[in-house]
Amino acid sequence: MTTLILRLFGQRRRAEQLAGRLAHAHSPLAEALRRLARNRLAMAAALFLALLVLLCLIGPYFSPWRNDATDALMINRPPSASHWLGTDFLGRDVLTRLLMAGRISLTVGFASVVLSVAVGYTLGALAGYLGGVVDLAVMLLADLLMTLPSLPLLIIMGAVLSELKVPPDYRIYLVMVILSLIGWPTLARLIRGQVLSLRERDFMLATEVLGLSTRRRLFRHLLPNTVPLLIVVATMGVANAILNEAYLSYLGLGVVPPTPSWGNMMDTANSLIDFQRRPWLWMPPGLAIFATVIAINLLGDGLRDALDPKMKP
Amino acid sequence: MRQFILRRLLMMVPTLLGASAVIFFLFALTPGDFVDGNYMLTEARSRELKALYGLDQPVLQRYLTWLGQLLHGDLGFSLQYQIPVTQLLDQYLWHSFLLSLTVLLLYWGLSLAIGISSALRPYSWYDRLVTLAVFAAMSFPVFFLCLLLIKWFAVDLQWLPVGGMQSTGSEATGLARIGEIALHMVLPVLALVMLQSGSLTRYVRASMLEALRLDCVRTARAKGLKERTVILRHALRNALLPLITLLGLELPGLFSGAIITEKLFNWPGVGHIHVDSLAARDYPVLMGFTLFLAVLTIVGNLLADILYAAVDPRVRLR
Repeated sequence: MTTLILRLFGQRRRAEQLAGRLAHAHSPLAEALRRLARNRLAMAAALFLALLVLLCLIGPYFSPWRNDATDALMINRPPSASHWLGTDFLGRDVLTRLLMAGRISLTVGFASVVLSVAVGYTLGALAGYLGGVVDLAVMLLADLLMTLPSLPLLIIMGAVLSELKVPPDYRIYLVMVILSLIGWPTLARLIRGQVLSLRERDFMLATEVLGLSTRRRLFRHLLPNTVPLLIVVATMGVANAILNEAYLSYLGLGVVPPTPSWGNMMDTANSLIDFQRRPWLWMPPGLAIFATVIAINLLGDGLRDALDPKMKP
Repeated sequence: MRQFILRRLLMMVPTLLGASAVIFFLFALTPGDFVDGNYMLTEARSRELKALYGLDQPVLQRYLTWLGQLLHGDLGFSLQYQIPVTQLLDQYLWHSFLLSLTVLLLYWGLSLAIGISSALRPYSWYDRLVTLAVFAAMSFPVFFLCLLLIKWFAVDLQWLPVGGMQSTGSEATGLARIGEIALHMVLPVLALVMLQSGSLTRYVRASMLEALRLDCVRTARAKGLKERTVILRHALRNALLPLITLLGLELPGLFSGAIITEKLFNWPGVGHIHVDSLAARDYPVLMGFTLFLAVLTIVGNLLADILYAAVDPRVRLR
């Protein structure tokens, strides 16, 4: 407030100095990070995720087994000293494949959220800021997509991919697109709501009174305030996308072999013998999905507490 | 109030039309159909069949025909089962409904009990344990939980049946039949209750915490009322208000059938039919069912809004 008054009286240099000092003293981001660091559960989750990403990235290089190397003499072996998580029906090392699958599943989850944020954030912010016809059109589209049941919709689109005979390498990109298609409406709705309420706040009135340009008001004042919500929703979105990818791949409609993903590795559980006698084939990927998703959710919850204590569900 | 409902009913029309168009074109533009899938047919016979089912007409024409049938309550004709879609759904819907209703009652009860009790002791050990359990429930992949339950309770311990609704070849009647179905329901119900109670418990806890901070609760305490009365009569009533909306949103879930759970436990419900129809490309069934769910979602939303407006007069004014 002080900076605003000083600026009004033309003491721009003074105002900027003060603003700089204030930012240094308690920048909202630094405050938030400090709050997050105090949340032990969230920090443990973040640490776990960092380790997991590191393990998936460099782990396969330290493995004596190659991802797709088959071994006809070592088929369906239980966990042992040489194969820590056993081998599958082609004699491939399950642990190495698990790490490779982790790369795919994490990438698909993350990339699809980046996509849905790009679409959902842009449309949501536009709808909230412009209002009128744009708002109506965007919200109608979002409502429509939210009306349709999401799992059946995913399954249909996955089936279309199978029908079009998309090659497996190329297919994971389309799976990302499909997942983001399901994800963006929720995000657009939330961001629109946030923009609508921010627009009515006093500080936005102040920027108008000060005669700032539309661009500056939008990018320097309105949109930065939506970032906390965006971070939280996007984090939780990654968890959701990983789960959805797992469902699709488990049903054989998402990422398909030979590309490994946690979901399609669990596909082995569909065979009765593997399911009953060889739990090392399907339990590790299941646990990996579970651990990753719960860690992301805990981190997201910690972020929500840290970024805005009032933003509870 | 009547104007509010009328306005919302009118708003349903474009949404329904849009949903029907999206659903129809999604399926119509998917390459391949029921006839193409059968490679045993000769060229002439498959053309004949396509003409019979109207698959050779232009897409727009087919959409209008379908829409016209819908207005008469005709969802189409199942190609795979050779019976009307409505009849097919009627056969399986109630199995799903039985499962979902049991799950709904159990998990609402559970969530309310746990959510409220943990809100009364915020940040205690119990509360933290509940929070962790809630996150675990929200993060479990459905199929993994189902597989674990089957592995432990049905395969290893052999306490409960692996799947299905009745034992194979069973001809039990009356009470014995009910008991058998109940036994088969234990595992799927357990899986679904565990998964669904997560987010609801969280919601109940947040809502109750908020209600406990209300002025009327403080007044009630200041009047010297018993703690029990304060919680049950004053706080709980306010906490339940926003939850009524959620109950309306449960409507589609009661009939949609849990696709993955039903498939894994081999439960003869609509979720199971859904996957089967997809494999056979029985599009009339899929279109009819998806539209049915979309309608239920819209009606559920409307119901939620009306219920909320009914209990909270502040909403109606807007």
